[in-house]
Amino acid sequence: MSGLDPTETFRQEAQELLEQVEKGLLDLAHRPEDRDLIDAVFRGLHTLKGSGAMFGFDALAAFTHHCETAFDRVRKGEVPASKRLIACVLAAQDHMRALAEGRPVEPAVGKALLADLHAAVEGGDAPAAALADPAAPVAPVGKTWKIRFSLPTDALVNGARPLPLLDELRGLGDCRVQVLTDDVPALGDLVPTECHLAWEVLLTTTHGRDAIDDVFIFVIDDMTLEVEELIEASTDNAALEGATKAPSAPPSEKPVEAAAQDSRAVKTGETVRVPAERLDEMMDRVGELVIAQSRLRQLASSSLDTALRAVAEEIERLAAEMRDTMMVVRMVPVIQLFARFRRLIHDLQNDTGKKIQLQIEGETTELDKTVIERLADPLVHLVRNAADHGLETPEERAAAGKPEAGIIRLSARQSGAEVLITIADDGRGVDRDRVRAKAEENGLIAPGQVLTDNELLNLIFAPGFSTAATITNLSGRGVGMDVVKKTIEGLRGALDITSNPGEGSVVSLRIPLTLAIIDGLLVRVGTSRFVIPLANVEECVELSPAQDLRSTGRSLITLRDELVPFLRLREQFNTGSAPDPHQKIVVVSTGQDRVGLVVDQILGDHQTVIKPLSSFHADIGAFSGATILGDGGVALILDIPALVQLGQRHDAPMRVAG
Amino acid sequence: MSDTSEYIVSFSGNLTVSSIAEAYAALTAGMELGGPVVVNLDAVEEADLTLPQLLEAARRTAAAKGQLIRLEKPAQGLVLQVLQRGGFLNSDDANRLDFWTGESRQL
Repeated sequence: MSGLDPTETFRQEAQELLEQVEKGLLDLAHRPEDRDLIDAVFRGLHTLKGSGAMFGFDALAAFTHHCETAFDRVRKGEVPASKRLIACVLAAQDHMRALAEGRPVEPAVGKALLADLHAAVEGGDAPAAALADPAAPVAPVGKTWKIRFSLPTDALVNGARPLPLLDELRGLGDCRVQVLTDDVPALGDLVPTECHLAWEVLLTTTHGRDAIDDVFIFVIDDMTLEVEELIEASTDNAALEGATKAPSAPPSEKPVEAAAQDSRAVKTGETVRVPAERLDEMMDRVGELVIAQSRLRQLASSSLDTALRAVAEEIERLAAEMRDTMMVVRMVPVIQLFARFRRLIHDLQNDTGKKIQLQIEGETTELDKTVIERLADPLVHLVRNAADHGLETPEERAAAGKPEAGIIRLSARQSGAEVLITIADDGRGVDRDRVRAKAEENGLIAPGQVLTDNELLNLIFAPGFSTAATITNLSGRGVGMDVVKKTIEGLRGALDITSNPGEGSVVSLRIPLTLAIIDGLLVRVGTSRFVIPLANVEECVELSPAQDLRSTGRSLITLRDELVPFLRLREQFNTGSAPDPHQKIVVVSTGQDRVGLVVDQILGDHQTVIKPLSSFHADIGAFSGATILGDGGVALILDIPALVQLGQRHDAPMRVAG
Repeated sequence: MSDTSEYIVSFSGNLTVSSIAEAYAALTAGMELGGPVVVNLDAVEEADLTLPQLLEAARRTAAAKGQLIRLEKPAQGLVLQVLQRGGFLNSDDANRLDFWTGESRQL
């Protein structure tokens, strides 16, 4: 395993800091007087500048310095946190992100951003040339050290000279030296040639700890020396003075540096940053453990050795706990995903002229980190779509008797082994006639073809479908809703849309909690075994020989007065064996659709470690992965959304006819 | 402005670790008189940290006894440099700053 790349570590930290700053800025837009928010934004910028310089991101440090300076003035009450200033820093933040990620940036863009920033702070329009070159180096940035030292009492007599030591420390950076005279005796007790002085020095330097130790290299054996790193800080005198005065300042006026240090200490104590690939490796090991445990269980079950059986049970318990723990380790709250939409909505309002209110619910719901990362792009597209196509302009809304501000609501909630994410808007709703016309025009459906409302709405997710009259820079980015659907299904999830004319639309995503392990129902069809994800299983019923005969050619059963289409997996997979006399139907669902899967035998529950399929198998479309069973055999995991879709298609003409 | 009852101790020449003992003796003698003591540093040609340490000890002792001790003029020249280099003027102690520079400052 390789060590952490420091540059990558900084980039991760920068990303978090920028998100923190962004959140602070967006909150500040609503509460411009909030001191805590102002301080938080300043701290984020300050730390970003300091860390950037430490890791060699000089251009980022230089650029951020200007934003930090602007917010320092806000902090001091010299300028208000105006909407214009907030917008400028938000725009500048994108530039910082590019610099942190090492993407190429146009120097002119940086200059223009700083000109805007300057104008926002000064309340006028300043020419860009009047500002410092954003790429120009800022004052050196480094760490601040607190150094306390004293010399032995006979040091002066022996030739030691404290003043040159202090001068050397000053040579390392910005320095504040304070003598400590507490140990100086009363005049009558004083031996004037003895040294009773001590010093406390606050040094901000780009040099390392070694350079400090080197200052004392010739006196180190006899002296007392304490060196403590405070935090990386700029050479800004005000900041340094703030740090110096920390002991006498009241708690509420704790210097920024100290506050930042506090928060870092808490953060460090609570979390450890681990590269995702290490978690993946661990998950693989847990997967192998689960498979081995499954084999052990099978061996033990056929053994008369009670000790072996006891150990097998113990291992089973531990493996299950290990799996659960591992899943929790990978979980992160969806707020990490949702938070970015506040900025998106902020930008969309500016771009569209629409008034949009973002509501977020269930932000503490947790999802596998990998899933969250892969959900980001589809969700951005769906939110853009809701803003661009769904919501009306303020004038249209007023004319329709609606509040001028449209609502986009993002919500998440856990439902068993799935998380349900919805993107709802209270806009105009999907225009069915336009969808139909477009689908007919594109040859997706035959003219006049009878479709259910759900089928009609789902045409939106067909490849190449778009009802947008013109391509806008919001949603018409060459990525269609079909790509969104494909991505969601690639996550073993499902996607559904409902819409009411004039009331808005709701896109629902059902996403598995994790992509690595699922609970499954192991079934047998002929001699093959398959795994059905337990989260999709609604119930199991028997298909009697009589029902089997009656349903031939029809593939429908009645469950509590409701017709449910079913698929005979024997036929789907062409197993070529005769059916068992007592077949079972496993009723599965995705969204609102249900379908029955006819199998020969239900073998029981199975903790399933998902292994990816080869591209050949993946192309078949009925399987989402494979797993290794306890006896070493392989079982394919059924792709339930694909099978449900297949079942619904088979059933459609009958329902229309019936 | 000197008071006629003040005892003036004038330091001159080198006031370093090798010669500070004489200054110590002179100052102690002046302090033992019990009246106000004024220290003149005009003729100091060289100084190290033993000088401010000596005067710090005298100042604190005087303060404890309620005795007055002050500099005739605020520290300047090389004495001021030693004070600055030694960190004597970065203190939150207003009395100390007042003693050396003659002006009270509220930090």
